Amino acid sequence: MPGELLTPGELVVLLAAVAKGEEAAFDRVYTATRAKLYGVVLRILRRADLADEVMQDTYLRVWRSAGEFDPSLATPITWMVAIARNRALDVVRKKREASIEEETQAMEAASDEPSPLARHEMTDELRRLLACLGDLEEERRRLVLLAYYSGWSREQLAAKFETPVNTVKTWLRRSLLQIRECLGS
Amino acid sequence: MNDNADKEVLAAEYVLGTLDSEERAQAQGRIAADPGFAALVRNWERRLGELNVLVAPVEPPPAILATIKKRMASGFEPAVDAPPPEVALTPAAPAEAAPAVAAEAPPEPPKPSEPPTSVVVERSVDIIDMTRRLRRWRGVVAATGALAAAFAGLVVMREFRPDLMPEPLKPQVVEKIVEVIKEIPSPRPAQYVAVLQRDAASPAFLLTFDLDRRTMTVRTVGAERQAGKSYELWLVSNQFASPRSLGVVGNEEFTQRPQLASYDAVTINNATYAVSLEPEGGSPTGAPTGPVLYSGKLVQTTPPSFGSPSP
Repeated sequence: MPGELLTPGELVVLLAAVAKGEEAAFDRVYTATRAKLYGVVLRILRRADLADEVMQDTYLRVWRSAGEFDPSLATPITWMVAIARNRALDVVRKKREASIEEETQAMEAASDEPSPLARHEMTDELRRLLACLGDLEEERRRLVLLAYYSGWSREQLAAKFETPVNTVKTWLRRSLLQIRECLGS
Repeated sequence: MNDNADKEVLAAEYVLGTLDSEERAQAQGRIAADPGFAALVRNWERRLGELNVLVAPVEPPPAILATIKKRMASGFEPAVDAPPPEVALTPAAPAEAAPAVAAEAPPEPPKPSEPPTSVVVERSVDIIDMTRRLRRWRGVVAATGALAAAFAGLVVMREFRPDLMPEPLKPQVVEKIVEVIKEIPSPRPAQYVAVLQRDAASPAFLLTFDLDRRTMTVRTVGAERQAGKSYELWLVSNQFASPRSLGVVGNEEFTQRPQLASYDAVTINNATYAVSLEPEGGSPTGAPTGPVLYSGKLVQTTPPSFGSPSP
């Protein structure tokens, strides 16, 4: 059963109700966002048990901290994705000695990159970000996207790109500064 | 290298997720201590967060909501008290909710985490696997190349600049932090951090808490050793009439200690942590005798707050 689709504006109103402790509002936020957040954390964690745990922590955090959400700083989904990704990254970094099996899985998962949307489905912000990513050298763009979507560390990226960690650091640094420059905000 | 750029890159890498466990803990401490840095992190979360639009939704197992509700009802216990993975693994997850990636698991049975000693023994196996991985990796490169091609259809691609080739490493802020770390006492990331400082610009001690194991790690960041004196750490809580000693901070950059075992999570969460300067070996009376030089409160660092004001 797919979740109810809500506009960002509706989610802002619901989060304000969640901040007041309204459980019905929380249920609607959960229903509207769970599949997106699960998709995000599963890509990074690649284990259902860990993804379940991170989902619980994320939504508990949303329940407790909805009052901290500031619609002038982020959209509701961006805010929630940031919470979920941070938690997932903390968990996945704990397991830094990834086994061969895990790394193989990681690579296979990485081959399943998200598919681009039709132009009309994109926000202006996303379109601008993609344009800036398009300005990066191909290898660096791949590096940034793998890091974001799959949660790879510099060490993992270095192994995959067969390049020293220091080179990955330099690539990341330049790419990120270039993205900021390009976005201009 | 320019400090602002270093700070910006650290914030961006934190959001991107490329920092290791200890660097993440450091960055989380900095988010708690430095509103300017926290604002940079928020900005990167907003910029890169747009990428979530491209992630395909996956329906989670229905049982998750019930567990969340149970935890909501049982009070605001720390997130780290989550049930162990075994509980979450119960077959409540229906087949269609199982992650697609699980189906891609290699046929070899997964090994339990190996003790470090066996790594050396298995080195030759690693090498064989590496070549196999390399082959697979080429497939990934082809696939991500296809993604790049897809992006090319969406965005105006400009000429790549060959002059962007990487140079030898330059000093970066991340490295400065790594210099402080001589030893990593725990691979677990901090869930809670307290930055003990006199003012916002000069953190002196960084406490990281593992509430699962009721242990904490004290990291000396900026405090200087004083001959014949010791730094002693105190827990100050309205639960107790007087500060409780958490022991003398060792001379190493890391001091790990289990003294928190006797305190409950609420006390640990709400306490103020303070460091006083005491005679060598610690306070002779069991209460602080010297000046309190540094103090701070615990901050839940995962995930960062969006609540602080923009600069």
